[in-house]
Amino acid sequence: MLVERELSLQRKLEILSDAAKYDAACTSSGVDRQGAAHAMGSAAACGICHSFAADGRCISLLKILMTNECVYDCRYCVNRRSNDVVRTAFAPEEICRLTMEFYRRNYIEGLFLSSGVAVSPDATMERIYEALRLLRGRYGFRGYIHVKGIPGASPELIARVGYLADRMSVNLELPTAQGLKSLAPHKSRSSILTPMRQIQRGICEEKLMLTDGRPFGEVAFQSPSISFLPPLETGEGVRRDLVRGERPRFVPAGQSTQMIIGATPETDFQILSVAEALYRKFDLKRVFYSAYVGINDDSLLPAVGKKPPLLREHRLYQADWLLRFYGFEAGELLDEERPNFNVLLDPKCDWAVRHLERFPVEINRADYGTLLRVPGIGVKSARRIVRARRGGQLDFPDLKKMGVVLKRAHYFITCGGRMYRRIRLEEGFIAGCLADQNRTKNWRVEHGGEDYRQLSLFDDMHLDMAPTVEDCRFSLTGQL
Amino acid sequence: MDEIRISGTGNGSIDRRGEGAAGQPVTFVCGPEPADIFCAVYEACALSITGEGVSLKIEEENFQPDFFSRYLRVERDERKASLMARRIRERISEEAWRGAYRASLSWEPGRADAVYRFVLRGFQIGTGVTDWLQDPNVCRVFELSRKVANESHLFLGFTRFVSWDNGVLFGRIAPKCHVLALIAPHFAGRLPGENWMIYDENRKKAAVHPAGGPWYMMDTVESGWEEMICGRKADEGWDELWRTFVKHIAIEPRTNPKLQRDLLPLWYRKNMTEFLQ
Repeated sequence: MLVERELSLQRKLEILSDAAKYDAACTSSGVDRQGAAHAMGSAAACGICHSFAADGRCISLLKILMTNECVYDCRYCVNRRSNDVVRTAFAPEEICRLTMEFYRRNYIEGLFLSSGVAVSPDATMERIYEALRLLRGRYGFRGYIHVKGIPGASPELIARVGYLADRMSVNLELPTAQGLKSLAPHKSRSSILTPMRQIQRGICEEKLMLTDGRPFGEVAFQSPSISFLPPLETGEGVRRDLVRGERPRFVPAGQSTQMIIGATPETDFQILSVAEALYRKFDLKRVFYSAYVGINDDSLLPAVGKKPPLLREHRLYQADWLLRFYGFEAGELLDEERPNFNVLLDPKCDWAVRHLERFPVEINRADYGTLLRVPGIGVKSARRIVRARRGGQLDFPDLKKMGVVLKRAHYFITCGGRMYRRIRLEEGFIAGCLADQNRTKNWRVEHGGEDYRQLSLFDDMHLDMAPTVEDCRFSLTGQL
Repeated sequence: MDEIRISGTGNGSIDRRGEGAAGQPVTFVCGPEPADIFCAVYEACALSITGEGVSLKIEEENFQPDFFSRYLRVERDERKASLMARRIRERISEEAWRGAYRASLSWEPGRADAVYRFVLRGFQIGTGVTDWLQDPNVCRVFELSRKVANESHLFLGFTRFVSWDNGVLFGRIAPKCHVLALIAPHFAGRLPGENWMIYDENRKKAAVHPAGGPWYMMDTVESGWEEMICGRKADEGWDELWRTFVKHIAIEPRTNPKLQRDLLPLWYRKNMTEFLQ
């Protein structure tokens, strides 16, 4: 494979950002880090979006590949070995300069570094490590860094990178082992889950150590008893290259993963169950879903030019939110008999109309968990309701001001024993009304063009942002 | 405090007794800054604890008094403003103070009056007042404060600097709300070793941060500011690289300008490098 290393920085950036764009994650959340003298950068736990690209996705991090050279031949991937594309690679120095200069100008919140597998997983991880070491050490960068764990890399390298990064992610790629086998023959389920497990245990161990009264960094550097985080070489040299002015921390913003949706024939129920298992068993911060965009002409894949299944991706994100913040379980939303999401209704409305025996709920009495399950009430509005009703009865206009979407909620609630309007509490009727409201929107999510919408977690999803966002904003702006 | 004389009203001396509730309505007129507003709130609280017959107004260019109220102009007095702030923090809560302060940074002309009525409710109800969203006075400040918080959060990301040839980072913003004081601490923490300034072109104010020092706020109206910032050489091609990146990171089959506009409305893009040519 010919790798052109002499291209201009501009050209390299074109190629290596093009090659990185199919990765869904661009969040910069999960860790708070103050700035420090003689260094540049800080991090905010709520995450900060710096721009939005033409596809409406947030740009928060400088998302690039270290190289698009790859020895693997995963069928869905634009960088697979058998594709005839220009191959190039960034020198570590180039990555550092790009990151620093972009960061100074407030273009970005940090760096998202991934890579094709050049030579071997270990060699690739080693090069990523070199780039990060330079960035954290010589350049004194304290901003956010998200880095990909390369499946098959040695635990020792993963640990070393983990001390430099804020978030690590190992892509699950496809929801099931069969899918992986047919589309990514060089990767295996275990080569993906092993580093994931190691990162999880590393994060967990760090937390346990903290209760010990000793700073974890000290333990990590000295104790050979730590099984998942092999001891790093001691000595000033290594320590100086960690995040400047900070005790060493291992993947402080947690780990995430992503799955490709629509390249293989899994049902929504299978996908959501996998996500649920990942949240429970691997303590992931986020699972990202990436609607498959047909780039490679391959007999095992949907045809090139076929529209990406955006509505499906949208429904999965909605359900994902329900799992993480609303106390739902995958088995409540879908089951073997109904393995796919309703295209007409969002998962929460869908669940509610199938459980009308639980409704209507009385706003002035229902507990927080019950309120959360009402369509049109989000995490923030539920909290506001619970707090506000201590001061007196709430009525429908109050709810509206608190951010409740009455258009959906009114079928399911009463205020002081009264419903908003007289309606039949009957599944077919309510489902019909809700579906009518959603029809245009669903169409727009699925179809392209000027008049189309897709995933926007903020207002389009009928769900609130993560509950931490507002709290974090309070603390941000609280520095008066 | 000066009285604005309007023919057919008052005699110029301020007699506080019998005003407000019973007598002629009183309107306090104050400047647009938080210090002015909290000063006016201080005066208004001293006059009436019910708020009846008392209102606050931000001074505007074409100010048109009506003939039925008495107008009192409040001059800024930092001492009174900080006294008011302390009273809110101690007698109501820190959260109430944050809400009131942020609301006072809104662009809406009614913000001074909203803050006053919220503070009065706060003194009646106490610590829990910020939860009482069913109360219209509380809800109003909640809405204003939320708007300001949202906008200032967005400007943390949407502010763009250009690097002048002397190494100074210069950022220009045109926010609706007065977010400068809310975003400057973030940049001071993030870029402690840089000389930077952020210029609010709507309010003609700048936050200035010398490398290694604390930031401060500056009025740029009479200081030859425009000449100073004009015609600077900047940026050595990094802006071009950034535009390249933004262009190439989008996935073409997912192109969605409507969604992009919802999340990043056009008015924010005015000073953003990636949307300039």
